[in-house]
Parts: sequence; C-alpha cells; structure tokens
Amino acid sequence: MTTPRESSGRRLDASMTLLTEVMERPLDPGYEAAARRRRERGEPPAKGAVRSPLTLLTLVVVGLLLVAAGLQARGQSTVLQRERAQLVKEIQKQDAAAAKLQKSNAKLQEQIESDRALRLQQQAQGGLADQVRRLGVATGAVAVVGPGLVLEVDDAESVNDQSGVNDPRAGTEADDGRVLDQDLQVLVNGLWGAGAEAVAINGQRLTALSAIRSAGLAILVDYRPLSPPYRISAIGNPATLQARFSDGAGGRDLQYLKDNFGIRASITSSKNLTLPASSGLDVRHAVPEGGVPGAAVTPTTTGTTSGRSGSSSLPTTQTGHQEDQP
Amino acid sequence: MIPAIGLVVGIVAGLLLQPSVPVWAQPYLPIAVVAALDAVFGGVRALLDGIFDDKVFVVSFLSNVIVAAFIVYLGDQLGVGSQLSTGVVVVLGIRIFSNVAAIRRHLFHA
Repeated sequence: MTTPRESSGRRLDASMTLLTEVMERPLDPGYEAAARRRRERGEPPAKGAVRSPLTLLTLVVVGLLLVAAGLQARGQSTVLQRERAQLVKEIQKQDAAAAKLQKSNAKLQEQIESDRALRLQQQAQGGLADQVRRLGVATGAVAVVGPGLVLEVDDAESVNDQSGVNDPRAGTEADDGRVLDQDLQVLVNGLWGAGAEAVAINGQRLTALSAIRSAGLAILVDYRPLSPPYRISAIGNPATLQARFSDGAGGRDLQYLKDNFGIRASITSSKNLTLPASSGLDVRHAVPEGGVPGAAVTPTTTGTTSGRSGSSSLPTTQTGHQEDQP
Repeated sequence: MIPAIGLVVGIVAGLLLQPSVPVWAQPYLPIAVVAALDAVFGGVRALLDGIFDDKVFVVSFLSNVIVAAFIVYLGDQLGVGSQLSTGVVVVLGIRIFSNVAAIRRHLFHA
C-alpha cells in the first residue's frame, strides 16, 4: 500500500497513526512474527497448525460464545414482551374490578340514601331530609339534573396523527397539542366562576375534594384516568352561564388554546343534563366543630327514589348513577 | 475443514446445552462476540496468507476477549462504558472488515 508523503518526507496523515495502523495492518502482527521465527529457525511453515487441538478447542469456544450471545439476545426480548403482556393484563383486570366496585358502591349509597329519606319521613322530620338532600346537591354527594352546557375539548388533530391512537395512556411523547390537566383546571374554574352549580368531567363529578391532575400523559379526575375527548358538563343558569364563561378567564384561555395549539373545543347548551354523584366523597378525619373526634361522619348519599324536589331553585335529585346526557 | 467442524460442534453443543450467561458477565457478552469474530477472521486471513499459527490464534482470541471485556468493565466503573464499547466496536469492526476484504481477495481474486 502506498502512503501519501510530503516532500519533506513527513506523512500527511501522521496525526492519525492509530487509524492508519488499524486500517493498514488489520492482521495480528503476531502471525507474521511467528512465521518469521520459523523461517529463521529453518522450520517449514506450520502446515498442521490448522488441525491442532488448540485451534479446534478455541473454535468450539467461539461457537459456544456465539450461541450464548444469540440466545441471550433472543431470551431478553421474549422476557420483556411476556412481562409487558402480563402487566397489561393485570392493569385491565384491576381496572374492571375497580369499575365493578364503584358500581356496587354507587348502588349501595343509593340504597342508604333512600332508606334514610324513608326513615326521616317516618319520624316526621321531612325538613331534615330536605336539608340533607340540598346539601348533597351542593357537595356533589347526590346525582343531579338540570339545564346547563357541555364543553367538549379534545387534543389537536396533529397529536392523534402522530401517535396513531387516541388514548393518552398509550402514548409516550409529550406534545403541545395535548389537553393538559391544567387546561381542564382553568376551564372548570371558569365554569364555577360563571355560576355553575355542579360540574362533571367525562361522568366524574367534581366536588370540593376533587383533584384534576396528570399521571404521565393521562389526566386523572379523582384518581380515575380519563381519555379524550373530555366532556365537561356544567349545570347552571342557561341564560347566563355560557356568556359569563366566554367573557371570563376560562373562555379566554379556551380561545388561546384553540388559536395557538389547535385544541378542538365546542360548547353546546343543554336543557337536561344528568350529573352522577361523586364516588370519592369520603371524609375520614374532619368532624364538625364540637363533634366527637374519631367519629367522622361520612356523607354517603346518592339520589333518592322519591320524586319530590327539595327546592325550586336547586336542581332536583335523581335516582340514576349514569353518564350525563344532554 | 476440521476447524469448521470445530465451530459447528461448538454451535450444536451450545444449542443442546443452552448455556445461561451469569448476570455479571452479560454486559461483556456482545463485546466478547465482536472480539472473538475479529480473532476468527484474522485467523482465516492468516491461513490464506499461509502464515497461520495455532498459538498466535489462541493467544489473540483470548487476549482480544479479555481486553475487550476489561475495557468495558473499566468504562462501566468510570461511567463511560457505552462510549468505550463504541470505541472497541469501531476498532474491531474496521479490522473485521479489512480482514474479510483480504479473505475475499484471496478466495475470489477480486
């Protein structure tokens, strides 16, 4: 091989001796050295070296090494896949179990509420029953119906195109076009500020104890993961709710999200919305002032079976624990 | 012929025995494989050049594997394991390519 030389005799690539060495002399110099020694000693070239047990043994080891590496690489991927599938299955199982428990919880709460209403009625304490139900409406402990509006927000279209799935729980990349928990917080606050009396997101009723937060890319409301589109249903005065929301901070924020991030949103008003009772309204430590510590009352109330309305100004209570329907 | 049989025997034995690599040795396995391939192709080329020597072959194989594993180990301890692995793979890869090119010239005269 010729090497480039300057007139002075210094190699042009003198600064890259390592690479040159690797490129030009890939063969182990030991082979040449051994051959030279043999020539010097006058021995013939090592013809039988190829068949020596040493060579054979080394090649057996090489074969073993290759197989071990191959098995290792393959085994790793299958183990990972198996564990993933197991985890997915477990998640789905627990999800279903949680949904079932929630359903039975709602049913039991409904039962308790109706029993209590009946009992208070029998004890001629109808005023108390009405008060319980009115408080239940305000705290989110009972399902409610009434007029209001439905605000539906969804991720920008580019997000769905990129990830291919419309489920934030499956995605891994953060994206600007995604609806975030703080967006929902601002919108819900805007609705409260506009005079909403009861709010639910995707059928999860919001109470004083509700939290809207995110885990990974999923938005959790009361620790239940939601998937878009997010339907925020708010019950309130139909004449003023929408206008006040649009003029307030929530409406401005929604417009900003639409203009800058392509988030899709629509507002429809509805004459008859049904919001379910909250499932997470448990007070364990707080007691009324003057009460007995350790004997916390749990406001376990859902809708009553009776059709009486507590007050004309408040939405009437409902029997069902169902999704909001416009 | 006989060396090829040795290689096949090793592969078959591996498939039959299903050797499991201990966890502590797993990071060094890929590098060891590349180093072993380098030694094997170097040996084949030396054979075709007519200067094959069994002792040199064995020593080059063992030293390749051990040095490569040691470099990876050292890199892991220093926190630059992946970079040093890349370096080892680049150097050995260039050598493998050059040797395979020489083997090709010997076999096909092209």
